[in-house]
Amino acid sequence: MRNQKKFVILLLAAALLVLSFAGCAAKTATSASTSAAASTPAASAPAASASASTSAAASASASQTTGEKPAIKFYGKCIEYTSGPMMTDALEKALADKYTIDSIQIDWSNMDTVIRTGIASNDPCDIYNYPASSMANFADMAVDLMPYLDADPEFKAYFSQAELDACTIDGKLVCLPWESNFSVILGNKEALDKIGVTIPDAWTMDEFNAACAKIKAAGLYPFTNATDLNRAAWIYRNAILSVAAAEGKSQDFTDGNISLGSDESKQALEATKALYDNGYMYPGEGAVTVKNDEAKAAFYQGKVLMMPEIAAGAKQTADGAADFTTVLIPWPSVSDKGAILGGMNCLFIPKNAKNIDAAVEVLKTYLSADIQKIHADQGYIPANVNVQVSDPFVQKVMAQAETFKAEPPYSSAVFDYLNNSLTADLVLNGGVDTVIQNLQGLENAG
Amino acid sequence: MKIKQRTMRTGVAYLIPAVLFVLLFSVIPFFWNFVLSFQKWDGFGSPAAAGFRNYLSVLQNPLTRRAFGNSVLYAFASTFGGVVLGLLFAVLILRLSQKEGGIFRLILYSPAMLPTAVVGIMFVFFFNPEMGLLNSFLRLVGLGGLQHIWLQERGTAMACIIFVAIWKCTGSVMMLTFAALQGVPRSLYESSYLDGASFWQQMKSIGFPLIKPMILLATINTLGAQFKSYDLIFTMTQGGPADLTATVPIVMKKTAFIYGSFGSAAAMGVLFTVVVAISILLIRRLLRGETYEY
Amino acid sequence: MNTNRAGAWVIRIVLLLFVLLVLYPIFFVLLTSLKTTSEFYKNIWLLPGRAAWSNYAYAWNVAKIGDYFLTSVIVVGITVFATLILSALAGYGLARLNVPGADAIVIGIFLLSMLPSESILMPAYLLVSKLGFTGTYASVILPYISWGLPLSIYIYRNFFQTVPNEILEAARIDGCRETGIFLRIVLPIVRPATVTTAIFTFLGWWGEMLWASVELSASKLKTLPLGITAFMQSAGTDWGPLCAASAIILVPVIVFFLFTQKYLVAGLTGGAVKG
Repeated sequence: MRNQKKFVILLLAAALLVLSFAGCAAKTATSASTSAAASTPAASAPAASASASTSAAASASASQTTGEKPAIKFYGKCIEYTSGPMMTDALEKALADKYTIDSIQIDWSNMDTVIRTGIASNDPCDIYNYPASSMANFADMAVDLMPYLDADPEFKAYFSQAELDACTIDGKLVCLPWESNFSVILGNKEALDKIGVTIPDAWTMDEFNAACAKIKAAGLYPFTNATDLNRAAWIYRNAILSVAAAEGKSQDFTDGNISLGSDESKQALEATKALYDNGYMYPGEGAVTVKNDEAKAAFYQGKVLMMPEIAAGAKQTADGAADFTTVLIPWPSVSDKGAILGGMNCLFIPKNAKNIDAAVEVLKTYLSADIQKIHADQGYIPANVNVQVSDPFVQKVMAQAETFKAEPPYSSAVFDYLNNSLTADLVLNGGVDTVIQNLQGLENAG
Repeated sequence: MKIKQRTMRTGVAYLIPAVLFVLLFSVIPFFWNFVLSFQKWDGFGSPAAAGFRNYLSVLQNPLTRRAFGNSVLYAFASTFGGVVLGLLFAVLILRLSQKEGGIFRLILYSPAMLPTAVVGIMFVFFFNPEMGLLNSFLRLVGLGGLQHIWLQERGTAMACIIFVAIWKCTGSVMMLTFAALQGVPRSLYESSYLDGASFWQQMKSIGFPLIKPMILLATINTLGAQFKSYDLIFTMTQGGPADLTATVPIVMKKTAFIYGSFGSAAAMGVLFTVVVAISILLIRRLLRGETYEY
Repeated sequence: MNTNRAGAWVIRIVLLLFVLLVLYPIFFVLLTSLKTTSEFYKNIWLLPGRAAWSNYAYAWNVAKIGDYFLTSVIVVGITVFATLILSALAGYGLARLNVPGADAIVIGIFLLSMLPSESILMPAYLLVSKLGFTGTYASVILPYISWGLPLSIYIYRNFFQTVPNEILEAARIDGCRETGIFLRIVLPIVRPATVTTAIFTFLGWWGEMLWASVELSASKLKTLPLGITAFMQSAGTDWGPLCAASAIILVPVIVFFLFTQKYLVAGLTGGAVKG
């Protein structure tokens, strides 16, 4: 009996060890809400990197000496951009004496999950990054920033009216943009020249189709469109924007007054379908499921001559094409008025963030011209209108943004359909009528 | 009978720590999820009661019905393939020497070690209709007519994903059954060997029956894992095209985290658990064997 | 059970064919890890022009794979250790120590583990948050242990059930305590179970991404698989460094595997009960 008791005690001791490790580790966590009792992490493992312990220790010592130095969790560090870490470093430095800012790396593939679980647990990050076009998902959970901007004209002047409109849902300013992003088309200059296709400054769908026919006749694929990374419906979305623009109804469309079952939508769908039906899309029948990596590979190998790309990644893609020069190609418009699909990456503050006013101040600093300039200098497209861009390629890209038009705030169901099912339904499962039916159904349900 | 009492007390004492852990992170979330399935919640604010509405909408939605069907097909097909092949490998390696066997075991287990996301996209390239290895190979050997758009066509999309799943899960089955076969003392084969039985006959009459519990375990484990599989299918097709290859985990994740409908997702989870539980009990019945002591 | 030469060779050939099929993707990953991403797009299947070891440097230094590596080692190490202890005890209790309703308990625990992870995600996250240790080591270690227990208990129980009762009886008659019996007699017999459980637990959690990505999303602590997802960005995937990181992930797994292989095939009972 004694041995057994000893053993059980040993067991409980082991369990206690694990749990106390948990408790100790909890104290070394970077979660600011527990920083009040932060003790120097003696047993913390080395991988809890130095910055974690210093920020925990810093906030602890700061709260002991100078009183409250609030900690702000900023889920907006984009490490894939060379400017990303630079911008967050500048942010932390700029507000070093006011706040402890914890800049967290964005996990693009899991963003929705991270945000929802954070908000649900009532311990969210103070600022989250999210694409403006999908903000309908979180519109009711985000702080309305309009009052703050109205009270601070200097802040408001950072942005253009178009940008603010794109971030407004139901009259509430739910987020603020930190970078512009839109779809561009990249082209293989040498191959296009060889076939004799000249790229105009703007062209219609008909002219575009003619050029594609020429390329196809030469035995190559003219165009492609990746179906992952939320790009699947780019062609349709661009098309419907240009249809609305041609009719002078762009604002109506942005406001959501043009239904997805309308004639405008139908026109856009037909234009899209034509490209697939004519066999202009790589790799032919598999175009409905082609992934971005496959498309990119084909483009680099010279099998496809024109490929859509996100503006922020355009320069990198262009630089990576070692065998040929990459040129910018304007999106074809369905009639004579051009309009392109734009999007912005934004930052929003959840309603249950711990320190909303502080978060707003952090936002203002991050979106100021000083920090936004870093973004521009690295070759990307800032949102702050007071920043000049110096890179000529990027300038050309931004020139396209003149025709940038905003989409209505689609519901997540509609978005999901656009990105995952529209192309398949359009090309394989029934065509334009099926898509119209489905879109309208989703529109009414949302 | 004092011994029986004593052992029982020891047994319970040994059991308690594990049960505590399981209670905390499996039982509690399970019941939480069950309660959630009768509510309507988007992650913000308080949940609202929703009765059986979630269950009704799940059962009536053709997409979720298709997802359930796909899940069952995927799980059973890939488990069957994985178990048969895994067992085959284990038996084959058994015949080889230790060192050789070890190398083969390592290599054949390596698919299980690669991150699923990398595996997924790799096979996307493999199945690419234009420059993928498969179609290129078919063209090379003159079987160009057999080319397909593997991940898009109705008939082949699911099959290709199942193929990759088998590729990945065979290793685990091999490891488990090999370990079990190792535990069977050689002496047990002696008599049948002396009677002139061939290797395969020995396996059939002695090896397999003795390790049946382990085969059952491997099958159940693989089946459970395949039902839960998310990353592989998602990286290869995202559940598409147009939800053709959508399985329940994919639909659940989307419903919960993209649409913000946690109640519906919870209801799906409960229904799914029922399906999985039934499947496992079915397998248990099929592969019923006795535990031998040796 | 002696193998004849020809039979052995047939087996070798069959296995080799499978090996080729199995190895190709791994080879692909290793190959790609030595190409720059743009070179990869131009040339998917063939050898790289020049080995781009910079990918590894990038993965290790810039993407901080080294830090994540260490975190993963700690997390998975502790998980494996704790799981082995807890499941061995529980498995033995359920197999040989006359616990009432043992079968039902085992099935019950196992069925609980069948709930899809997506269902558990939110409740478990909220639970951890309420308990106050979000984003710490414990927030991943403790759930991993819990979720790995069902299978491990099942494995151990199975193996314990093959140990003849006579051995236990004999030891009890000799006056051994239950604990002693467990530690000194039964446990060594089921070494394959220990090795198997260790391997499965290690591999099961080494590459786990779903829970880690949610739980550690706002934390400075990140495990290795999260490091991989950092390469899959909004504008496309960075293939060169991604494959380099994958190769780095593979190494400890292979080492661990090779290390534990010996114990798997070490001599076993072979006549524990004489006569």
